Amino acid sequence: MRKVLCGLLTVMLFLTGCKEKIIEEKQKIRIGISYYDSYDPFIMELSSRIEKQLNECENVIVKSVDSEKSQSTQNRQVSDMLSDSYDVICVNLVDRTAPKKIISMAEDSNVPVIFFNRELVSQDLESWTRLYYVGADAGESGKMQGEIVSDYIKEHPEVDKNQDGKIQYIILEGETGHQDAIVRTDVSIQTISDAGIVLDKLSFAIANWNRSQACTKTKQLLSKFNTNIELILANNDEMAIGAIQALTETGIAKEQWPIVIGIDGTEDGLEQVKEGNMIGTVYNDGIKQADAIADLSIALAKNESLDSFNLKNGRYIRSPYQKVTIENVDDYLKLLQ
Amino acid sequence: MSEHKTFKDKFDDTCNFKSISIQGLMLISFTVVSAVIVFVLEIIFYKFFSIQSAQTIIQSTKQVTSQTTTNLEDYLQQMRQLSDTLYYNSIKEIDISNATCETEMNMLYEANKDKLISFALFSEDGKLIAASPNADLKDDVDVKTQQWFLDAVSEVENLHFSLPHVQNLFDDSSIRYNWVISLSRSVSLNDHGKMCEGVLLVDMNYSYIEQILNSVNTDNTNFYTYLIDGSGAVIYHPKQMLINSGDYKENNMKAALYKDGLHNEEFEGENRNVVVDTVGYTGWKLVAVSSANPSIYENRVRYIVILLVAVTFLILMFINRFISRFVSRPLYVLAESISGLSQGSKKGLEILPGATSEVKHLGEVIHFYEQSNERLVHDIVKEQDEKRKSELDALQAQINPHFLYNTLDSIVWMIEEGGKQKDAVFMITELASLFRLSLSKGKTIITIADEIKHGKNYMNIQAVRFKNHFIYDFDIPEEIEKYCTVKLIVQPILENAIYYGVKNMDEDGEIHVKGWKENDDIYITVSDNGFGIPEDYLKTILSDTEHKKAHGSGVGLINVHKRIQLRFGEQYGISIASELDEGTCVTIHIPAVPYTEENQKALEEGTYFEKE
Amino acid sequence: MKKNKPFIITVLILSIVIMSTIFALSSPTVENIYEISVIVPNSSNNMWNRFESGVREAMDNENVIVNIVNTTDMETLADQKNLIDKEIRNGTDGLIVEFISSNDTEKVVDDIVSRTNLLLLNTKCAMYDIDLKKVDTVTLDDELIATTLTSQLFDQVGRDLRFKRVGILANNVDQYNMKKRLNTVEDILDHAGAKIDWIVSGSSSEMEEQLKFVDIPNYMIGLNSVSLDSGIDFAKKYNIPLYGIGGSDQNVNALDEGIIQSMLVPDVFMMGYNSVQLMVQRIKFPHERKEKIIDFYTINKENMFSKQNESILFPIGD
Repeated sequence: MRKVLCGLLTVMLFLTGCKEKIIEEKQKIRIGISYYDSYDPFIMELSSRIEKQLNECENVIVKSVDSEKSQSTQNRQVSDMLSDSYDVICVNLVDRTAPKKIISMAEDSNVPVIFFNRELVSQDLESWTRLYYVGADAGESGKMQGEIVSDYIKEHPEVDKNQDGKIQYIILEGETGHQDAIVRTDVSIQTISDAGIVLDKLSFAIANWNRSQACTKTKQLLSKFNTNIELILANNDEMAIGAIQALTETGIAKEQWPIVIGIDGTEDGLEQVKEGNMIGTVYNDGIKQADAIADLSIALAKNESLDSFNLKNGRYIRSPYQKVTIENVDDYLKLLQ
Repeated sequence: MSEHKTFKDKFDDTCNFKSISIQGLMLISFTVVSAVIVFVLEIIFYKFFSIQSAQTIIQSTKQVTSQTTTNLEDYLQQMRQLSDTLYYNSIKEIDISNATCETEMNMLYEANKDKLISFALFSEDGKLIAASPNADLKDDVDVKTQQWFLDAVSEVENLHFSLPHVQNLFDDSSIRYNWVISLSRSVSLNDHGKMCEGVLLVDMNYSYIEQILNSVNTDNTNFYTYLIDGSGAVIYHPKQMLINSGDYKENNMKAALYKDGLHNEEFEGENRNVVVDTVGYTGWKLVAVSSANPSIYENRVRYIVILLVAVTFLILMFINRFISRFVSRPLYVLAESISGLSQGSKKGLEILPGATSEVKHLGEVIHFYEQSNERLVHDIVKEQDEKRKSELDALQAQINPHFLYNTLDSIVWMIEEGGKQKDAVFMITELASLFRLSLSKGKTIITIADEIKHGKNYMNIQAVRFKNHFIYDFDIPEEIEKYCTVKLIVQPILENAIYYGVKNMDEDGEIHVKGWKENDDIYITVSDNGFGIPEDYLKTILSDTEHKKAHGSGVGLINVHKRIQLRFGEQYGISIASELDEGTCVTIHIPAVPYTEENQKALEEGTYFEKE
Repeated sequence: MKKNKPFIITVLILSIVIMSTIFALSSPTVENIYEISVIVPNSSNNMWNRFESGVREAMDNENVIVNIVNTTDMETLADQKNLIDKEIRNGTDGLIVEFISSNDTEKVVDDIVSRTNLLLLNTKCAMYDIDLKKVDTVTLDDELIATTLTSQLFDQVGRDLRFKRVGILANNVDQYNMKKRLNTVEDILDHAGAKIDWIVSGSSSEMEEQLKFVDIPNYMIGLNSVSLDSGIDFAKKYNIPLYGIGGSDQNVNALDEGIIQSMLVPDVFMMGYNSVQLMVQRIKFPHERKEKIIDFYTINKENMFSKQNESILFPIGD
């Protein structure tokens, strides 16, 4: 009798073990992407490219969610993904100063996080070994923007409309407290100054990377400064286009227009460069970044070696910016087809 | 007698067929009691926890609701303050014809852009005066027809909160549409020094409220919350889309009528607890709904409960079994050893050390009775032995060769002497009768008549032998002749009377045998006028078994006394009275038992006195 | 030993109960979650956003994970078949499919049905000869929607369309529902006397390319979101009244800007919600074929911000 009992017990235990194995086999790699705003064209291009790359792999499920510019929403989305046993999470931070919640949740679940495009401070990124960042060097973009501007001004002295030896400018900034915005602004202006050009800042405006906000702000500034503005610097293409829209709508003659320049190299931005409304832009290689994010996330999910990625400090992948002017804009337009 | 067995008989039959052991009984009763207790507790706990859990849910619902309401109130208050700040600190201070409040608007926007969509200031005819962050109105928008505008101008003293709607004002290049809740108010504008009316619009970001309520709903699975305005129109509901398409129904219209606090309602067949909390100023109500019959037995909990019940039961069973065995085993062992004993096993009584006090006591009592029994048996056996021995002795005595020789000698002398044939015949006849009575066909109990005859035979013979040295007579009434007696009790006394009493007397010795019945007793006395028995000798004569006489029968009075006692009991026997030189009187005392075949058999077997 | 028998039996039963309870408790609850895959053309187009919202709502109610497969590169039925196979290989419990082409789909349907559960979007079972007892459908009433579409045109322009030329954008004429809509519209317009000047079809880039070479018609009709999207720039440029069936973000924006005069918007949210519900029902309790017809709403610039239409065009939440 006792032997029968023991036999039954053993059978039961075996069954428990078998069941678990069956479930394991059914599991696929789950990768989650959380971006800060679905209405940011650059981000959307980036995300859809990441998804496309990942979908070409077998056994991978990708899920993208829009945080709608709310960090608390993003935190919740990440928390949901972690409880759904996602293997890797890609985060485009809403608030770059507030990644702590996400980092601690990921660390507790031992799930690696790839931050992209909106950069967090290095202390936060280095607080755990399985955090990575893919993006571009904001300073580099500012520098290139400055160089394009200074080169152009040197070649086109008519930019200084009132010929006072100074270039009156306004700058359209992305967001308050945003790393990229601050760096792009500062470095760009510094680069132009370093090139020997004297700048005269008329004003600035925050346009939240948004075209119509930039348009409104530009209109307000135009009504204030009128054609005295000689240069409009914009932290990104969307805001540059907004400025151009404002110029168009206020009916100022094209000869009176200030020179406008943005950063990113979105499709619309490149169009504006082609049409001559922008003197140039700085191409943010979203394609390379997207590919890098996709590859890195697969490698992390499969626990493969990360040697082939050449991570800086073991965590950073930065794709280089490229200058775009009317000369080479067609090449870039082709790239985006 | 009915051949039909009654139901009771059949029942008894079956019960007897499997008669239940103590262990089984204990086990069953413990099991039944355990089962009943466990199930009753189950049900009590279920009811208790059901109520408790409904209470707990209501508590946490109240807490969360009140917290959320506070959050909403804070948010709404912030927005109101923004509107106030913009109005009192900026708009009121300027003449809109030559100044603008755009800078302040931009600043306030930047500081609150996560909660706001936009600010906008309109004149009373719907013209846009200022806006932030976007100031491009759509071409064909007529704000005068929009609900927030109408509300503001209809009641100029208040701030108005609209229901959620899509903002239809600005030309936003990003084709984004925002759900907003419009906070609108009527404002006084200074235009060229003239006062005119306008409307200040603060479009709040609906998704801010949506997120607050979404996170409440995802964090709590026991209840869900929704937000309605004062008239019951839904502002937020987790199943909003389904309500719009009609796939889901909600009791929001009724809820709008509830006062703050806990209500119980029946909706769509479900009994629910509803907690209502009003959001200040707006008249909005936050409604939290939980089921009034929470199923605490969702799968996991159900399994845990079943597990607990099964484990408890299992443990109880083992305990029950242990206890019942503990109690019943000593009994069992005791019973076994008793039946062993009754079958003659030499093992003796087994009392296990772990037995309960009652069992121990039982064992001891049984032991005592067993020992008493042994002693009784032993006594009986001894008594039987003694009986047999004495009878054997008595019998043996009768076949004493000396008596025979002497008597035969007498007979031979009589015959040789001649002329005494008649006497010889007499002697022989008497002797034959004597021997015949001695044997009495092996019986031990005979009639008194036969015993007396035996005595007479003996005296007749002895009289001849002793040449009429003494005289004797028998005075036995007829009525007592038919009573029982042990054989060979009179003759030995007569023998004693002769040899110790009268034999050595010179004068005429006399021996008298008398018998009479007194109630239930019979007395037979043998008295002589002989030498008597000395006193100290008298004392020991009936108790000293070693005292054997070489004469005659040699059995002695002790033997007679004992046999009477053995057969009839200790209260009977012989008693001797004697006086030196005067005589001796031996009294036989036996019970009056009429001689019937039944009585004779009973006395022989020793069962006569048990009847009494 | 006989005395022990009932005891041992009870102990045995209790042990089995305990074992199985522990077993049930320790098994992860993930087992019961079904996985459904959705394969529809142009999955990344935002016209499917509301579908996804509906799917998510259904996911909340049931224990199911829905994977909307990325079909940006899916161009032919063969491509779709590959994706279908991939999903079945990955162990999907059910497939929700809108075929990119309705030609020669019987074999594919047969194949799928033999291996897993199937629900078809935007198609009618009647066109199949084979036994479709095992397939549910969720669809629009294409005839009705096409008729309503043309009546919108009549409302604004009158019923007499003689000498009027109409251009039609029909994203994918291989699809059954598109064919139905096109035929209905053509019929009605013919009856009204209009001349169908041109019909462009293909992917959005193909249609835009073809538009470069067509004459300018009096009116334009787009038969689905993608069609409308492709025609917006052309209609804006040449001020051609555009009518259509759609609901994507760009459609809505164009409606707002007055480029699209009148748009029929199917309740794509309910399409997503109902298809997941039906599929879950089928997985749990296989049933006879069920067909669900989805409503649509007629929306124009004036009524697009009404309470009801707002929720259709701009679903709350994500």
